This record gives sequence, structure tokens and C-alpha cells, in this order.
Amino acid sequence: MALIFDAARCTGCGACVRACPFGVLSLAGGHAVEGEGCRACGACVRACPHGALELPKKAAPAKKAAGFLVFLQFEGTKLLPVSLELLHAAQALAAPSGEPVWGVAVGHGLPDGAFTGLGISQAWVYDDPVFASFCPDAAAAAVCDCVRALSPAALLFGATPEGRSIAPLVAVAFETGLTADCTSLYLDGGLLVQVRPAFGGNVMAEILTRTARPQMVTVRPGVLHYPAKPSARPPRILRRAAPYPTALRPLGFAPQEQTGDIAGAKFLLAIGNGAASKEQVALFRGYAERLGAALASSRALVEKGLMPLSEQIGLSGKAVAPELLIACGISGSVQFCAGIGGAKRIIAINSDPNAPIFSAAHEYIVGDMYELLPALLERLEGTAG
Amino acid sequence: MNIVVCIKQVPASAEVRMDPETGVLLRDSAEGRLNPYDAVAIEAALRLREEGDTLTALAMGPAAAEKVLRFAWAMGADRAALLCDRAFAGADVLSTARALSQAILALGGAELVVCGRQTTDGDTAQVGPALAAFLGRPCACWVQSFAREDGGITVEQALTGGVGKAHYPLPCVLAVDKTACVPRAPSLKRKLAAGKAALETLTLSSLPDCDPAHYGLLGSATSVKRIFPPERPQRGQSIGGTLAEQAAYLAAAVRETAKEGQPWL
Repeated sequence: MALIFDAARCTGCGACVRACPFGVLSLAGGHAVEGEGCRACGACVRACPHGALELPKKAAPAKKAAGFLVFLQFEGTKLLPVSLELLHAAQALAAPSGEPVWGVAVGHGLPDGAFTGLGISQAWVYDDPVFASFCPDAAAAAVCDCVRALSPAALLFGATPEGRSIAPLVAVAFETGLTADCTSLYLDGGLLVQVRPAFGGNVMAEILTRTARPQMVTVRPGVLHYPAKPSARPPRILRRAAPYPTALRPLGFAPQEQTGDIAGAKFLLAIGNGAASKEQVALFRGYAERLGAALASSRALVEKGLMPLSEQIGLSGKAVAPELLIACGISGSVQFCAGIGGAKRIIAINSDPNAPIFSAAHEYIVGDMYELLPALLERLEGTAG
Repeated sequence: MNIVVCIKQVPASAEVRMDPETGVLLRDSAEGRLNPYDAVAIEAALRLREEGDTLTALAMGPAAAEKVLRFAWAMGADRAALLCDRAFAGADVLSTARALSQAILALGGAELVVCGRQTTDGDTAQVGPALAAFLGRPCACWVQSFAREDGGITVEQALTGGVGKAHYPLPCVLAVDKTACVPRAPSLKRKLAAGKAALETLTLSSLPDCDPAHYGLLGSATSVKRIFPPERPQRGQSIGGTLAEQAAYLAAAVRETAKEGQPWL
């Protein structure tokens, strides 16, 4: 790949040399020069403050983009549930046109067996020691390598910390769009319609990536519910090494206790703007403890610093699936409701008879939570034993 | 070294409702405020600044966004620059990240760029890593703690199932989480002086790449097909009656799901 240099503009500042992830560029005679191994990633073009570098214009039109590529995220050798949710969605979207569904994974020591039964025709597995730790730059390079080879029409990531770190890097490399936190996807005229809440969640937006490819999205875990189509046919597995090493130095990983996690709790007491002071939150934490429920909240209280992010339900928090959710003083924004789709029974308490939460709830009480909760506890504890 | 902290002015209330009949967006107020995640980013940048470093606060937005830059200056930033041009209007993540990365180059480059985890209006958490990609540097997202050492920044990041620790050599980009540190209140002295602090203004023509087709709506890869009020499913069942009857109803529901070991079971 020959870059186009404008010697008149190049000042030899070296910005491109520092930006090149492949170490291809160097300075000679006061100008940047290209060595072997340019991948036309464009990092130097973007880094050059003088506009002295250009990528060669694409001589032939790009291969027509088709097919769905899903980023398969593993925790160790275990595929995350969100990856399965994405695969099922991609299979449903690809079914009418018969386009292929592929998977791409980065990891170390991933067995072939991890990719059977997923219903994909090919698994691109970047298996390298560098991927034993989370290295977003190297992971993005691997996904870019796969995208170049396959030219997919769409590329789907789970909106996990890792997926949300890697996807933007890939999107910039292809100068394409990336819609965050989609809640549903469908096809319209061959385009992927990317649906997500906007403006804090009371409005939904449908986003299109009209010309750039791939069309990229991240999708929250636990919000897509497409039926599984298990397939016994093992995919073709293509094993690759890391296309280039990482810039960072991993220093270890400390697994976190999953107990007390609201995502796994069977009984949740959730509070919102109706409990908007430190004292009120403490009061409800006490109620939750006496009820044997885990306390959770809507985003409003997390933004106010009254509740930790780890206890936030919703699109920017966690998707929960309890047996029972009692929602107190929560208005019920789309952003909140996107996180409670898995709850088996939702009882909402709100003083506003028009609270949107009453539409998401199975049962609701128009009332004062500061009267109802003590009355509930009195009822339970008064009849103890 | 040069440190740039990228900040944004967001609507004071992130909650916007849509009139389901007319499709008109109903904004509570046009008041702007500093994106709450960015106050943490400014604080992180101040703590990472060492003797001899220059910390520049950078915001893209309308002229009114100078308010948040003055706040960043009051908190302790050395310089403040507003990237303001009609050419940037309607930018998506790609186009925003490109503009910010170019503005950083126009400011003389930066060894360290600090961003907040996300904004409360766009809510994507993608601009930080995307601008890092434009600058050709690694980006640490979900940063819970940070320390400047050994020619780089050692961070702890909230990842799936735990906390990862890594050393990101300079130059790099950090996107810090809200829990990373507590933003300081500006001193009264700087607060009073902030109104007169000199702000730099960057326009399209200030950028190394000043092709208008690369920015704003023109340079965006995504477009909005339509916006619509979310569907509200049928309301649930109303539980009426007296307070005592409602409490009894709740108690029955709780008894069904409560875990063993509750004293009242």
C-alpha cells in the first residue's frame, strides 16, 4: 500500500510516525517515508496536522457488503449471553435474504467446541496471548482484519464495557456509523434500522447508516429477545494470530463478587425521584433490608450521587430479571423500562396517577410510598411468628 | 506536557418528552449545564497535571457553551478553547470525534486527553474512544482510578466480571467514570476571575483538515430516520382500596417471593 505524500506540505514533524500503529513510517531527510507493511489504516492521515498525507483513492469499488458479523465475547471460554442474543437477532434478520451470519472472537486458548451450535457459517478466531487480557487496541485491529476480509453489511457488538471500548475504534477505522445501546433492530429496504432511546429516554430514535459499511451497533445485554435457532452444524473455524501487538501493559484482573448483584436478585425494591434525598434513600435501604429485597434505583438517583451505578436499573445501568420488582416513586422512563423487561412481576407505586411506569407494571397503586411501605412492613412483621 | 480535557454543555434536564399527538419535542428548559460526567474528567485532569504541564479545557458547541469552559477554568484549567462553527452542527459520534481530534491538533497536540465516560444527552460513551482512534492512540474507558507513573497512566477499569488494571503509555486517552474522583468546587477567587479569563475560539478554518464535508451533518455516517414517542403498552391492573388493603396485597406478593430466613416468614 503506497501512501501519497505531499513533500511540499510535510514539515517532518513526525506526528504520522508516532501515530502509525504498525511502525511503518519513519523520518528521512526531514520528511516522512513509508516502509514495508502499510495496512492503509489511515491513522497517519488523521494524525498529520498539515494535510501532507493521503490514502490512495480506492481503485476498484469495495466488494458489495453483505452478511452479519457478530462480535462473540467470551469470559474465559464461556460465551456471554449477550453474544447469543445478538446471534439470534442476526439470524432472524439474515433469514429472509439468506445472507450469512459470521462470528469473530478474540481470546486465548478458545477451543473449537466453543463455536459449535451457534448457527454461524464461519468463526474467525483471533487466538493470541495478547488477548488473555483486555487490550482494546489489539482487539479492534483483529476485528478490523476480519471486517476487511468479509465485508459484512452489519457488525454487532454487545454493549459490554469491552464491546463499547472496541466498537468505536473499529467504526473510526472504517469511517462508519456506530449506534450505541440499541433496543431493537430491523431491516427496511436493505438498511439496518437501529432503534434506541434518545433525549434521556422519553423519545425513541431510528438511526440509519446509509452509505458507510459496515452498519455498526452495540446492543444492551438482556434487551433483544429473538428465538434461538440451534444448529448442530459446526462452523468453519479460521484461526489467526493478533494482527499487531497492544500499546498497553496489562497488570492483572480482579474478579468481582457477583453476590448482591441486582442483575441476579430475585426480589428488588427500586426507588426513583420520589426518594430524592440521602435520608429518604437510607430509609428505603432499611425497608429493603427488612423485606429481604435488594435495593435498586432509576438513573435519577445515581446522577444525584445518592445511589451507586452498580445498583442502577435501565439502559445505562443493568437489565434485571427478578421474580418481583416493587418500583416506588419511579416515573418509568423508556431508559428505565428497557432494564425491566425480564421482571416476572412488577408492582408500581406512584403518587402521580399518570406515571408511565403504570404501563410497564403488571399491577399498580396510586398512593404514597411513605405510607405504603411502613404499612406493608407492619403487616408482615406484625404477623410474625 | 499538554493535557486536554474534553467537556460538553448539555441541556439542564436530560428528560425531554414528546407530544404523542404532534410529535413535537417538549423541552423543560433551554438552560445548559456542564455534563456531570465531565466535572469528574476535569478533576482527573487536574490531579494528573504535574509541574510544567498545561491543562486545556476544550468544548465543541454554540457560543453559549463558553459557560462550561469558564467553569473548567475556575476549577483550575490553564487554558480554555471553544470549538464553534455552524459547520459542526448535526454531528454524530464519528463527526464529533473527528472535529475534537482536529481541534486537539490545532491546540498544539496533547500527550494526554481526558474525557468523561459519556454525556447525559447523547449517552453513547463513544466519543472518547473514537477520538482516540482519530489520534491513533490507545484509549482506556471506564476508568475507576488513575495514577501517573512510568511514562504513562496506570488505570483500573470496570470490565465484565471485575476490575482490570493496565498501564497505558503516553500519549493516550482516558474516559473516566463518575466514581474515579470527586470534583472540587472552584475557589472563590478563580470563580470571580473566570468571567474575565481569555477564551480561545477555534473555527473550521483553525483545523488542519478544514474540509467542511468532514464535519457536522455532512461528515456524519449516521442519520436519524425518525423519532417517535415510545409505545406505551396497556396499563397494568390497578390495586385500589384502603391503605390497609393495599398493604395486604403487597404483603401477599412479597410472601410469595421472599427468600427464606426472613423473621416474618
